[in-house]
Amino acid sequence: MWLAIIAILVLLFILLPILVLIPLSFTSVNYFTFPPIGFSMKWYQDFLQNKEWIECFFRSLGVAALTAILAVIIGTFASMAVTRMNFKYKKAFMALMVAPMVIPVVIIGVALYNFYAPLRLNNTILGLVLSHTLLAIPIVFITLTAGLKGVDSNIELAAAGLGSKPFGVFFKIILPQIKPSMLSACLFAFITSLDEITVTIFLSGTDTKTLPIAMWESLRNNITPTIAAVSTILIFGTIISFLLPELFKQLFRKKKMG
Amino acid sequence: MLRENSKVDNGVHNKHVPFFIRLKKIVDPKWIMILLPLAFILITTFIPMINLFKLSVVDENGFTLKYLTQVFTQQIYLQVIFLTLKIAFLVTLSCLVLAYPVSYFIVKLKSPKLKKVILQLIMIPFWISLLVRTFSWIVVLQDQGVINSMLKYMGIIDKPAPLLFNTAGVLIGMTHVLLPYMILNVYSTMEGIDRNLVQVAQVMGAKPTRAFWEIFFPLSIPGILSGSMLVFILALGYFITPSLLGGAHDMTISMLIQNNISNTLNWSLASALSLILFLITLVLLGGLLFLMRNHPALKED
Repeated sequence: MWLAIIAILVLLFILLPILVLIPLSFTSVNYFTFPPIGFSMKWYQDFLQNKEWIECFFRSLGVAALTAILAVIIGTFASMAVTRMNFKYKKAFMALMVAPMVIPVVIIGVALYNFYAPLRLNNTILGLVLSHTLLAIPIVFITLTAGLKGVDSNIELAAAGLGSKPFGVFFKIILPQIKPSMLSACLFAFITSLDEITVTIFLSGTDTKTLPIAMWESLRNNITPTIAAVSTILIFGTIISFLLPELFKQLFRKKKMG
Repeated sequence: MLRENSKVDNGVHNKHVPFFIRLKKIVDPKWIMILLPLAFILITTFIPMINLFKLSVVDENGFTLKYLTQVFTQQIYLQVIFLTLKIAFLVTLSCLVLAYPVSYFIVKLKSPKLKKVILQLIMIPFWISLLVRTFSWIVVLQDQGVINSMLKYMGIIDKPAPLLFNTAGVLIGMTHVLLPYMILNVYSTMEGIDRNLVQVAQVMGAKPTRAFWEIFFPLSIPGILSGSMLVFILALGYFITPSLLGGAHDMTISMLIQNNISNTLNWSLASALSLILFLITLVLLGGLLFLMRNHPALKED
């Protein structure tokens, strides 16, 4: 019994910030008290009418989309290599693919800032996409490798034996079987980029400010409930995209059965 | 990589094949699957890192250990390193204390559906922007925040407890961010423990508490160790949470590195600090891999 109480308290601790934030975004005053005073949508209006916030928001979505594409292409290559090929130093290769996940992010940020300077990649979208891609590769690699391990490679061999080219085998045989992991990998890469802040602090400038950077600056300088509204939008966006793969899975299942 | 190149070279020299066939041999799609990701990671991660670390031992006068010794001899830098280790340790400890009962609770649940729902609830904050979560802690912990208002209402305190912009704030915020990692690690180990062993011990006459401490707990230690190591490693590099929730005295290595780049423009020192942070991480990571060498996730196939 006491175990259940502790577990519920810890779960509450995990979910508390989200539970508090959402009602606060509807407050009618420009400071934070809980429970919030009154009800208004003015902080959402403030966000939608602020040109800079909107610009950063769409820039972030664009960078995240490009990152997802690039990270999934590179991640697919890497996990195909690991699951379908035999080569020396495979373990070292795998370690390199997940390394960006454990290297302190500040080090990557400073290192890239230094590396980009002579290449003029600082304060460019390309520079941001490349850095977010390397941060997203580990999670894409892990997700796709797990998915590919569950696929029977004999079917691929049969297809190849019957004359299918490698690309044909991949798109016609493998891809349909790993659709769910592919979808999650895309989503993970997208979210990784959308949330990225530490590396972006170093690499972005005035022309390439992303949403997290705008939020970071607002948090350090003047906190207004607008940021609670932005946060709430992000929370719902994340939860919806989090539920999407599950939804897709069920759709596929229904199709198969029907 | 070297091995493959030399193989291609040999073929070329022996047979004198035309250029485009040579090219086709080199860009055999099979090898691209390895070489492209490898090249990407090396160029975007490891080469920049090596370039950065070079700055700590080479300056305009050539090789020097000046900056590294500076870090290890000056009180301020040692203090920052010590504080970073202390915060990482305390965060690991509080994560463990919170994660263990929750994991045990989930493992003991009978309904697999409820298990899945709880695990998903634990995973949700995992994917919510770090900034959003940190921001909400500012709201919760501030003087007129949720916690202080509640404590005041219940009459426990009459002056707001200082929870924000000090080490307590950093600890709470970081524990919150890293707790899911710990729960997932401890939980997956517990799920693998053969529960019949505990039952056998009880049948043989051991009281439930004794059966837990002498059978179940020792078997869950691998999960505790790997989870703690992972949380500790991740906590060492934290930057966002301590800079937003901490006070002026809660400077971590990551913050000091950023400070040296953006404010004092001392690249050599920032590089020396990065190198030290990287080496600490690397040593701990070696320990983690050693602990997890029997973990199913690391085994091939």
